[in-house]
Amino acid sequence: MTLQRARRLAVALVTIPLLLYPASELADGAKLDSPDGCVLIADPASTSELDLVFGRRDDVREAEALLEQVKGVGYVDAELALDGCGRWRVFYDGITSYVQGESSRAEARGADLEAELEVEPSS
Amino acid sequence: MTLRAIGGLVVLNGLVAVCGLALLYALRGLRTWTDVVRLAGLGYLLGLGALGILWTELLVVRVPFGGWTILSSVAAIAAGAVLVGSRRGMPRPHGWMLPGTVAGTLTGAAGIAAIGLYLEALFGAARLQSLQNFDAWAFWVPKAKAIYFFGGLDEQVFTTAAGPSYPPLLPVLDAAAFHAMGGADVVTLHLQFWFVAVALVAALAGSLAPHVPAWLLVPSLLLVMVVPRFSAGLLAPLADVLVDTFFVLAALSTALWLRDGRGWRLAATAVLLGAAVSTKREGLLLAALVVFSALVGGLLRGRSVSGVIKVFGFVMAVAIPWQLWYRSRELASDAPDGVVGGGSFDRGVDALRLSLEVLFDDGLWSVVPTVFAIALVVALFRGDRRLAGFTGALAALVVLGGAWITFAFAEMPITADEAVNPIVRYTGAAVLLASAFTPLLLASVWRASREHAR
Repeated sequence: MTLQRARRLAVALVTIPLLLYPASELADGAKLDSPDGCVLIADPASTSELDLVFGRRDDVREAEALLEQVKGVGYVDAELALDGCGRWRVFYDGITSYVQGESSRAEARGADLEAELEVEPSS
Repeated sequence: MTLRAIGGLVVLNGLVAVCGLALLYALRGLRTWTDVVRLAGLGYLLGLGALGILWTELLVVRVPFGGWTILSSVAAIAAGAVLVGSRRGMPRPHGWMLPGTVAGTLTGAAGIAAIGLYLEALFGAARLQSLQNFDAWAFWVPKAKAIYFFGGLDEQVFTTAAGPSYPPLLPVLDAAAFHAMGGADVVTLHLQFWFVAVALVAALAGSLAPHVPAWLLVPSLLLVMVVPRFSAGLLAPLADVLVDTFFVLAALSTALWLRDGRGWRLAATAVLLGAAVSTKREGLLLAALVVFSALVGGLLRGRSVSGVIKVFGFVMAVAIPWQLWYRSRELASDAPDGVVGGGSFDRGVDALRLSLEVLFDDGLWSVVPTVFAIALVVALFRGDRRLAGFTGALAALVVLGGAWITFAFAEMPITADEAVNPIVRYTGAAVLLASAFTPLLLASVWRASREHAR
């Protein structure tokens, strides 16, 4: 084999597997972008601690404004904290059961809040 | 995790690599683009070391840490290095110099493909990891968040969190990553350590490639990455692998300086050891061992050791400001009382036994220490005796250092339980050292046997 041919073969040896592997992963459903990676929606069978989450914001000032809005509706014990993905999460952690959470969620949505019942991050 | 966060990390780490390559240009020149690619990993680690040292010192003197600090420090180091390189008349890169043999070309390509695939798979793991390691969420990441949100060494966090005497290079690197990502995203943060892992492999490959044939180098690099303890810790936002990386690249640079006497290697050693002492307390011990081995090695070869003394001076100058910061707040250094501490002879023997047991635990380190020991003995008799002497002495000193830590802290139980004794984490430095030097030792044996056959 000539050196020229070996170099062409070397380029193929490096590029083909290095492109094929991520391509096959992406084709298999892998996602590079997962903005909701820290969101775990609760289900009726969930036995973990639950939070009523009113939204997430990238900017802390926007999150504080949302917190004020939520408190104004009546959730005076609502809190603000960073989630694991670096976003500010506005939530109420006084949920004791899924049934109670569903009822609170419906109430919050009735007040035009985008509430969702989520599993508490640490549980 | 968002593409914006990943993109930010790519830009940050690209800037770190540019900084390091500029330093290499100033120190040794870069003749060809092949040199640039080959030394990109070492360049990245030099850039990370230099920026880490600078950011640490800036924090100590209360310069606010933010996006502009990051950009201006990158610009200052890169521009300064290019200016120095130009003034010194260093060669600029032009043209390529590719391997001249069919076997070398194909073996190298197969190695790049195999290692590349592993790193791609590691990326997949890194982008979805949650923050689970105890030390990471207990104090390393909270300290990083404090720097990110408050712009400096927040007194309350840095004096009350665990390990108040630990130097802040890792938290400040995490904080820089948060700025690059646009938020304190502790999931995507793991990708920052993927970049360090890629740089470690690239730096070992680039430093060893001119001295080790590809067929010996590729399996050695693959072995390093799949060592159980390393593969589990490569992506953790901890200082352990980072300090080992700085230490081993510094030791390799020193060994190559002993071989060829090129001064730029000692300058690289100085930056890497400076970074090591800014990363973990063990960095001070490891840096002292490298400097001591370089001094003895240099004197035995009849070489001027003024460069080694300058390395020592630089490392001390880097370490002192942080020591002054935490001592001025009356924080305990967590160091033993004197060299002997609370140890006795029996405790010393038990501590040494523990160090050796951990070193040769194949559940932690696979066959790496055993292969290294064999390579060392063979090289002593059939290869480069001086290299084997330096490597063996340094490895022995590192193991003894681990035994000393257990010995000197009288209250520390003699056990490999990581919750109460750091010996497993510390031994990582000896094992990574073994991984890096094994191919170099074996290559010297192979070359000697070929010369003997002629």
